[in-house]
Amino acid sequence: MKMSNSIQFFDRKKDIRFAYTLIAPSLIVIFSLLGYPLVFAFLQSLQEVTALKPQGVFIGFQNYIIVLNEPLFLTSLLRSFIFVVFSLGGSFIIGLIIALLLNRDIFGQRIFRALVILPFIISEVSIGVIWQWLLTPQLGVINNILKQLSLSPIRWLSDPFWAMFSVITANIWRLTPFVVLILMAGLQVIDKSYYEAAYIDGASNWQTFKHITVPMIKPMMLVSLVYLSFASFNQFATIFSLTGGGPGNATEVLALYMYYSAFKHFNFGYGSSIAIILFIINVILSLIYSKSLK
Amino acid sequence: MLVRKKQVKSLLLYILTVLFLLWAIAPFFWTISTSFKNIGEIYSTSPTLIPKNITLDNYSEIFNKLDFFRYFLNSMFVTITTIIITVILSILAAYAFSRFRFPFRHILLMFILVPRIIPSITRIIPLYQIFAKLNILGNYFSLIGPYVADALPIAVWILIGFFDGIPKVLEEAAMIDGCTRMQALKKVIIPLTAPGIVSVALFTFLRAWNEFVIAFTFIDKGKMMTLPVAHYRVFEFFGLRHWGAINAFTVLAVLPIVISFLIFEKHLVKSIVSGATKG
Amino acid sequence: MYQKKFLIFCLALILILSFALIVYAEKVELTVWLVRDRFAVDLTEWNEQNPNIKINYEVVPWERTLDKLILAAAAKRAPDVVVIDFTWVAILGALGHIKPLDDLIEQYWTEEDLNDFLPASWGFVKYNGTIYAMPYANLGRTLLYRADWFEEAGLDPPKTWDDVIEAAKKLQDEEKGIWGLSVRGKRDDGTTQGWLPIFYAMGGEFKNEIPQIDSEAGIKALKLYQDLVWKEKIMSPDTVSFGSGEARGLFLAESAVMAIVCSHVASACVKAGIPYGNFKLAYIPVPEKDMEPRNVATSFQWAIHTQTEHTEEAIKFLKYATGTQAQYEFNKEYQQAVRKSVYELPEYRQFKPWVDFILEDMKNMRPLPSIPEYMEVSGIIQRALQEMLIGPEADPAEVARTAQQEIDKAVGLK
Repeated sequence: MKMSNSIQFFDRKKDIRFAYTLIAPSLIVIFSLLGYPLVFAFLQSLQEVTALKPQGVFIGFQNYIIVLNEPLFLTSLLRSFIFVVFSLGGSFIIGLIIALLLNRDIFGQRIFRALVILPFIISEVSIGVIWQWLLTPQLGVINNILKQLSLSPIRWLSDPFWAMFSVITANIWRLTPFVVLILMAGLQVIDKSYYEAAYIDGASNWQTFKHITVPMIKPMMLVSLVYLSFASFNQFATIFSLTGGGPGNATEVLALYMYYSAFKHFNFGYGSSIAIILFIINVILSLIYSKSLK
Repeated sequence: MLVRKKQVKSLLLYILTVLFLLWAIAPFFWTISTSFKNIGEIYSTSPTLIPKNITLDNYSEIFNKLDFFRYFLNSMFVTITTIIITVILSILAAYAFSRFRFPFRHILLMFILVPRIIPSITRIIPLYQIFAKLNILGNYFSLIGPYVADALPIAVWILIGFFDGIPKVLEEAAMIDGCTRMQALKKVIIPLTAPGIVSVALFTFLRAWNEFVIAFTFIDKGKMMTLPVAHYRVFEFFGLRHWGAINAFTVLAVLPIVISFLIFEKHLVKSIVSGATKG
Repeated sequence: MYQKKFLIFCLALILILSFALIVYAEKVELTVWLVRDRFAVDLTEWNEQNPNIKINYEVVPWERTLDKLILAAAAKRAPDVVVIDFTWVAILGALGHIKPLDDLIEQYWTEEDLNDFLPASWGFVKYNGTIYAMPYANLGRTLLYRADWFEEAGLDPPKTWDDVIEAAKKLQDEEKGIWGLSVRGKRDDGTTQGWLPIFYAMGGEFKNEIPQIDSEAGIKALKLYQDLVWKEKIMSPDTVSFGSGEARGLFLAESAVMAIVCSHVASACVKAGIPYGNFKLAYIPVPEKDMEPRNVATSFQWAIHTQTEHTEEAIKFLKYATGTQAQYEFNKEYQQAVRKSVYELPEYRQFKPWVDFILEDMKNMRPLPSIPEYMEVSGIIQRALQEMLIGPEADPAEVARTAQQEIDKAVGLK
């Protein structure tokens, strides 16, 4: 009897059905809450739908035409771009330096590693609140420190340039730990013997870095860059709680512009078209990245 | 001489390390410090890191005027439910993908993994409209659903990796001994993939607990707010920018994450790293 | 066998349902949205008089009420009763989101009671001649100034902008962090509401409720904000990020000589330890000495949403909320009451020694523009003001012209 059982569990048909039942719930959830909304957004973007006129009117690609010609859209796209480039650069470089520094056998290495991750695991709202408190006019401590160093205080959140600087800084502060983690994971698998050999051969630090370290952690570096770009390009909550897009429109990146068009100006059709454009840009980005990984 | 130079260099690098560490942590210190200050000190033109008069007033205001525990429990409810559903669904799906060969396997796997490139923020407008029509807005399931959908692709991917690493002979042995498939799964596989499951759970916990946009837009009622939403609203509640209380709230909001982090540090790091190296 | 079980099951279900219906039919629940938690009228008496009507307060901050209201209505989740700012009456009325109350007022309020309301207050609840809400509180801007510092320096109370600039320059102190004047500048409707009185007092006009920004007065009023920050330097360059809290916060923390803020900040001053006398109220400054003071104000009132299923109960609540007692309690340390009986209470005067000024000021008030496109117009004005506050090089005439073009387009003029 037992032997026939063991033959029975190779029953293909039953197995196949079983497999489908196992993956069905996940598929349903992902399709209905991840895939379908995208389709829905696309359909909405072809209509004129507002909160004041909930039943949509089909207008084809007009929303897209308006969007692509709208200066507010183009400037928010530019802002997103600036935001991404500087966030990427900043967190990558700083993250790399910290990863290299922490990769050594130093006193308190474990604790440092643990603490350095904190900015990444807290909610984006907390980040916005913490940084607003640091930079707020009148009471922000950063300006206080500047004053004590006899430097003139900066209007971090009221000046368009500095506001952008502030949100980028907060974003870098948040994402750097991630880079540190990823890069350290890569660094720690590098066999020490490589370094020893290089040292014996008389290689300088920079040469060691360039020819041994970098090639070995290249995949990790790419992974972190990918994550950084997507996280920064689609950033919403940190900027929303730190500046709300202000002053004026100075920090209104694409995600915020999209959100406001729907939930502040009630134009769901228009907002949906921006959502689709956002998605397309994300797809283009991933295609570029997967090409460069090959 | 060479040794000296090396020692100096070491020391300098160490100082540099500490500086970077401070850069990461200093803002937290400042927030904590402010949360224990009274209004006079907060408004003073020469503030100090350590408050001259430590006061718990800000904290008592948070607990008295606001329903902090309520928000905490709301977040707990939503997060734990999300984790449970995600873990169950992803185990089942990953098991199926790992152990079975069936038609369309590859395509279906793509269907599950690819949606990850859809940025979470693009879904908010359509989800809002869909949920409004279905009248689920204001219900916690309007949060849990999207959170689960958001976590599933990576969860499945991580677990497939783990399942693949367990040789099939183990279940086969169990089944020969009389177990059904599900029993084999429960008794044999799951204990072995425990680290993977913990990874998934932590990863989901991090994303769901901190999520803001969806919770902010979909939940109307004050009583049902999750922590990040309540945190944001604290600005408005305290109108005149009662920074002491706002900072106290920040400390309280950050504490659960920090504590869980201290407990699960190793696992959390692993799950963040594996969650990202999707490629 | 199964049939019997089924029948018993159905019967039980019907019994439970009818029981539930009976029990719940008795209890009516009203969802009431408040723009600030201070608007929560005390319910002790209400609960005694109306044990079957439960009031569920929900605080939806002023900054977001209109947006949330429109979104909620679209999702069929609107509240029963809502406190609305006068600037929202037109759009909500035009959209049909709030109930016209003319007939209901005739039905449920007595002549005597209606006469107790200040006649001017009815102008603040109408759109297109229809009444859409019950008056509750008036909210205008005034110029608060440190009378004690003025006296010390031998200055007269400020009447014109020249007075303001002179006093500010004399009394402000950069080292101590004291600014001359504090106003709102953030990108929200409060900034527009704070500037339109200045515009109006400057001589600005409204044509069919549409503010004529592209006019001499408009350009002057725009340039004023720019000059006060960049030329005269009596307003902080951070003004562009000042919301309600910051603008008044500066004055309350004694870091501003003057402030143009909501008149109820006066009560907050007393609470913050600045006694009346050390600070005083003045009319919105005029450009020249003999010009008549003018002011633009808004008000808060109670409206009933058209999606409610409990109109009668909502009306009852409105009566309760706008009664003399409730108005007194709400306004004594906050906004300005609109019932004569409240003003006649000696206790009210004790809380607000400046009450006569308020009554005089109300005579010079006109409501904010009552047009459905108000929020868009306000947004255009906010952008214009922010341009002025951010950039010393911006050209006021240019900004005014662009703003007017956008405004005209928004309201449908060509």
